[in-house]
Amino acid sequence: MGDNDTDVIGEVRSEDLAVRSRAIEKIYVKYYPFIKTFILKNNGSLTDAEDVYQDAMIVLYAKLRDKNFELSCTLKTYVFSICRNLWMSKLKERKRFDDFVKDGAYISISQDDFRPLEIEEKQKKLKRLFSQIGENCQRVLHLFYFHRLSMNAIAQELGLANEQVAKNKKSRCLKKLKAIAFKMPYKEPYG
Amino acid sequence: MDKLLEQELDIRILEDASNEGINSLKNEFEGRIDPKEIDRHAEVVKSIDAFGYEMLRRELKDIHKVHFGSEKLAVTNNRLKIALALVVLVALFTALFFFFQSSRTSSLDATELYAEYHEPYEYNSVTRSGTQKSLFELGRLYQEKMYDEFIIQYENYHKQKDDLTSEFILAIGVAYTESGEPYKGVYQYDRIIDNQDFSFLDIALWYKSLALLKADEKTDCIKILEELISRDSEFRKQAEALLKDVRKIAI
Repeated sequence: MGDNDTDVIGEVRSEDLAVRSRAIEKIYVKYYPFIKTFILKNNGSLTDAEDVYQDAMIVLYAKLRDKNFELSCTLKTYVFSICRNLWMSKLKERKRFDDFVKDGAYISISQDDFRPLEIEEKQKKLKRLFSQIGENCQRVLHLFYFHRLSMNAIAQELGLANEQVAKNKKSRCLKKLKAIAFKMPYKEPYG
Repeated sequence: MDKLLEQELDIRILEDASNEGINSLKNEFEGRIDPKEIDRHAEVVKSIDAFGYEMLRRELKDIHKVHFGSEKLAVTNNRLKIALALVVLVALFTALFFFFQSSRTSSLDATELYAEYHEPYEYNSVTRSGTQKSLFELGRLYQEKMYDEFIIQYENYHKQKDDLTSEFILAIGVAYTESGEPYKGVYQYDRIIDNQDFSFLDIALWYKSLALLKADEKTDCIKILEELISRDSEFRKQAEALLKDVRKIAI
């Protein structure tokens, strides 16, 4: 993994959401042309390239937000390996795998890593309920569970007094969401 | 659920939200929390994640639009340009073809037009005339397009016998027309038409129209062609095409 990779991964893991967004954009722009050439060379279209690459970026983000995850190759090889896997499955579905061009360095990716792309029906239903808990609640849960930001960072992001206030808010919002999702009793606390 | 327990659950679920992970969590937390609550907690966390992926996908689409949005437009534009160029080319070739066709026909005279449409009638003396040696010999001359010799021998034969089939009469008509005596050809075709031999009527009319054309009798030729078309005969298509061309040179 090069120094550049370490920097950009550090930015993706930053507690500042704006820095994260810029890092994701940087990675996206850097490797897309390379992936596009690969997909076009292998019976794909521009739309296929865009779809596969965006799926790969989601898989990549899901891995990078986990601070325990360590990259064993360059970021480019990792991104290419995810795209290669995704495109191979698509080609197999379309039964056009025979003329697959075997080029580019790649590593093997665990099937578990593609879990973010497989959203179960149950989650789809719950996801719709997410909008019923109010914007502030959505934000706090989204920052904590999806972006995995620390309570301190969440407090700063939302302009809350301190970490403890953020913790309380997150707890309250989670309870509210569960109440809506599972039709459980919920009482709005005072204050 | 107290906050500490919630925090513990969060850490573990965020580490591993797979079914196996949740099951081992249930075993570990047995007695401390209702296993159903663990399931509910995991479901909610996963649904927040699903929502997050949806948001991220939107963000990625926006990034794509900003940096590579013009890519597809360029491809579409190129495709449109190619399609347009093809349409123009096809239109140009079609126009050129029709121009060439019309200038070619209008520059032809009746004899040349006749040559354009005439195809010799295929008379087979071997199968039809069989054992009659003189007719067999006549048929051979016709097939070899030795029309002058064929006509001389036919006229000799005709002095002795008049037992010819419509098929043979057609061949004689073609031979006369081809050797520059189209009116004699017309006479032979009229013999078939007058005999009302229905199986040879259409073909006799067709060759009669060609003979009239060769004789530069365009008005009569047009009449016969119109009759062929109105009869919906097997020569209808040829008749329609020839009629169009004859009308051009008749003006």
